[in-house]
Amino acid sequence: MKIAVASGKGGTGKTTVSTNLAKLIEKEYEKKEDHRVWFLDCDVEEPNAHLFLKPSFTASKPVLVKVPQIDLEKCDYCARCSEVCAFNALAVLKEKIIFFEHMCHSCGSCTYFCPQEAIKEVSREVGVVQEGFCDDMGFAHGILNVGEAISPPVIDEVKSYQDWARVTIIDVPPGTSCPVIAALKDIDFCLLVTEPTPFGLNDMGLLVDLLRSLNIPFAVVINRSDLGNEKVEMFCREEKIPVFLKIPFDKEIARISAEGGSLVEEVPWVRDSFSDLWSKIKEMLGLWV
Amino acid sequence: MTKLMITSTGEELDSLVEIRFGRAPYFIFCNVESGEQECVPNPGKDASGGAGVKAAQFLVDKGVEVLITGKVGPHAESALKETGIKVYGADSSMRVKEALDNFSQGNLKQIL
Repeated sequence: MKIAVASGKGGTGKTTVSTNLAKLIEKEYEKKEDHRVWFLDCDVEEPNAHLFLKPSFTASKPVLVKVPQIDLEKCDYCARCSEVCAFNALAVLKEKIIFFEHMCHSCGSCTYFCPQEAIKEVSREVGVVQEGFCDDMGFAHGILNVGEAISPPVIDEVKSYQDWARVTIIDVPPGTSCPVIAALKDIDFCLLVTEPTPFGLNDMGLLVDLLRSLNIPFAVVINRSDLGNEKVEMFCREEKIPVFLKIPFDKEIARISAEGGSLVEEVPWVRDSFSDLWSKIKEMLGLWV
Repeated sequence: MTKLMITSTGEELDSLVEIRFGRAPYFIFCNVESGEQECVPNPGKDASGGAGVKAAQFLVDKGVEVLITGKVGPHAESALKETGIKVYGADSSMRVKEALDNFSQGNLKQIL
């Protein structure tokens, strides 16, 4: 069972929800079987779930992408590579070729179409994936190197862990663009964390459209539910989207989160709410777990 | 013979100068000596990325020697530096015609 936690808008509480849900499920499965829950932090531009789950890392591997290397002995500056590059990563300016490596999507078109066969593909490191454990829970996250623009290769590498466990919780980056689509690939369910503000509503609407076109079942968590206005709830009612959990704006939650603490372990009423959330997810998916 | 190109918001010489290079809607080409002009829509205007690189490539292919625009992004800048194309700065309040006049009178500042 692969459950993603996404938000559209940044800063709504995705990581709070995903890490606490993972802890709750892990507690439920404790002593039944080893490593039944895995947590994958796909927010590779700013991974932060490790601050709450505090894993011990056991392995780290680089993420490599293919980029063109041009043999200037063979190149006749015909500019075919620049023409076929959909991302404008290559410029052939008179007798000079400039390659913008951060714009390259590793599609291989330049290598394939070069009439002189002057291009070969070489590897370039764009980030790392680290894996480890927090008690009985498996943990992996990706870190995109500073200055890199394209995160999906790192996310894909983190996603390669998603079929290992009975339950996998995936922390999705904010937004609705390529990194989000990479993180949502082949999942069973998505929790959409939003807040009752105009920004929360707008970005949630974009994500709802995306999830519907990807045919992913989803439900909503409204964080800081007693602030802002009623429009998020009205939207959910009109669109027949289930609201599975409302988390009030609470000083204790803020304090424990700021200390990197675990809400489901330290606050009984939060544990009860997350337990209820987990039951609703299982019920919606007709789950046996 | 100087082949010159100005980034423009519209197709006319009365149009305002577009201050973005890679995302400019139109490129207006002028041959300073013969007075010939041609307006071409920017083929890379809606590129998802690398619009400036594509525009620099386009200028080289067209044999442009002088570019008048507002601001050049970092990728386009490194590409243009390799081409020997001279870049002069204009601002968004100028019409294309005024920018041309200012250039021939030597009133525009070279930015690259």
